[in-house]
Amino acid sequence: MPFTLDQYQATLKDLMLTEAGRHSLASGEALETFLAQRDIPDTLKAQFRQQPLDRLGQYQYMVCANIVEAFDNIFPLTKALLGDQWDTTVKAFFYGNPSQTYHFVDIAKPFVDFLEINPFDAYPFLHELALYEWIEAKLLSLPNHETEAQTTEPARLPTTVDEAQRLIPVLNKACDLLALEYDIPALVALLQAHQVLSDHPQAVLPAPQPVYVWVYRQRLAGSGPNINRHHYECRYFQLNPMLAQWLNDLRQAETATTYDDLTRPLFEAIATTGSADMTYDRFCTQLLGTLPALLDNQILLGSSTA
Amino acid sequence: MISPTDDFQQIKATLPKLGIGLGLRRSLYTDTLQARQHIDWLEIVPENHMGRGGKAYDMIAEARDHGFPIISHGVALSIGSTDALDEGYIRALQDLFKVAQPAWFSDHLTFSSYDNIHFQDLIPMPFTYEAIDHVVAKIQQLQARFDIPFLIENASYYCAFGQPELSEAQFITEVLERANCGLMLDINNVFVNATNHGYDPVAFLKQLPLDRVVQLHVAGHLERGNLIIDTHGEAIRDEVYDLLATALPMMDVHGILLERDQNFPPFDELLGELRQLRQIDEAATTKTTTPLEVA
Repeated sequence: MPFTLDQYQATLKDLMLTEAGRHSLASGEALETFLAQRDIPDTLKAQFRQQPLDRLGQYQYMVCANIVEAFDNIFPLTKALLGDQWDTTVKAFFYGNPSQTYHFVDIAKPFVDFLEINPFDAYPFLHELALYEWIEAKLLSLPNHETEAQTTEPARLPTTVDEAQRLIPVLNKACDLLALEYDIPALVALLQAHQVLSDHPQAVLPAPQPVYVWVYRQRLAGSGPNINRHHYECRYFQLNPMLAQWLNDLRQAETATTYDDLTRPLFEAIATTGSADMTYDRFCTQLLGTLPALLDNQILLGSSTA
Repeated sequence: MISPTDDFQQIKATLPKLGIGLGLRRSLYTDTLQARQHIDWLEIVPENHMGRGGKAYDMIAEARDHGFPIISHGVALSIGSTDALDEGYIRALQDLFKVAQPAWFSDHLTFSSYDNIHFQDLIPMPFTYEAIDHVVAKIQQLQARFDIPFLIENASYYCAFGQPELSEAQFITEVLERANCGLMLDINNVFVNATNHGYDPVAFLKQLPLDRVVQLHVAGHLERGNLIIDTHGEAIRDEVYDLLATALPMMDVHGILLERDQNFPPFDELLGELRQLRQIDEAATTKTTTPLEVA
């Protein structure tokens, strides 16, 4: 009985992507074991037997090497930290997590999850470091329309409670919020400076408080002969818990939301915890005072009117 | 939309003659734009750009602004897979083409996914009649969705499945003729396959319907043990230049592309390779034979 195209493709897929397939090319006997476990016609088994093992192995090598190479670029610090363990870690992920997409950035997120499920005792912060690196790759490739400003009045911020009730903040939507157990920004600075982490024992301990980092993409104008060519950078901005909550509520708001709409629930939460001497006007004015820094960093793009 | 009954030669005659091109790669991007006078056109890998924003998107518009014609050469269409065509992929490709405005597009005569699991590489088809029926049907579905011609590329392969039902040349020819699509002829792949599987590359070329060739790929390869591997990461070998020089007079080509995807050398070396391709192309133009002379 001749083999079908479906049987051929299913067999090659398993040969390339499964642990059983990975071990099947160690020897002729191993290939026989792999083939014996498959319900495929003898004609197809015979065709596999005819192939030199090193040639079948070329396909195994290529599909895995492509993932390793892509991850090398997305996770340079994680890779550097793991050293010799990097390749085996990526391969352990590769053989247990078939890709549902051709986009490498999207394949890399399950790898971050894999590191969370399979932690390294020596690097308890590794999952958060990988997440920190992945978020940059994700943001740099987000579709452009998500960052387009919806305001006709750019760079305007409210300075009074009255204005806060009328103006709607416009967010740079190419953003994400990381709430980290470890001070990953400090760790990243050490790793980028090629510091040995064992010389900085505090850096690898959990932070006393959660570390909130706003991660966002910034579109920058070119200069000189490249004046018309933009480039993009991923920026990180550390936030206090209050501002992190405020920005995250803005990010997740599905309808136009004024500055006041965002600020009042935060005040009410504080009021219930005992800051009796704080009025809403004072609270709101203080919060509005922090916004110019967000505007300067292009986290906020300005305001629109309701 | 191109149908199976359209005259492919009439369609081909309407396509522009693009000259000598280079693959648009992010790490070569600035050098590429500055070398406009040495590079006639650019080829993009659409998966690097479609559905994406930021620089990946802007690169296309900026290259167009610099006057580069752009051609799209995909790696994840998986036309040979028993999976159905990916509607999301098709729509993203159509959106990208609104910006890139390619005169034609291409992908490989391979499969790169099965059961919606993606391999991130190109796996060869078995040379069987069932595979032909399957690929032809999918190419026809694809061509019905686009207004520009689709080309299929002859793939490199290290294992040959399906023989002796069909030879590689018979397989490719059947797909081209029945699907009524063009051929993206990869000269390096012909050389790699001829070496790895022990046949004469020129004799192989003569078995193909060369009037369907629209574009050529030329690339480098790597020797690994008793195999040579199609890496796109090395300089073009002299033997491949020689095969190109032999092949060009046999066909009417609308574009020749230097395909370099990794292990990038100083940009001047790539420009040198482009110059050599141009010289071979110009020399061939003076001695082009007719299909009858080839036969």
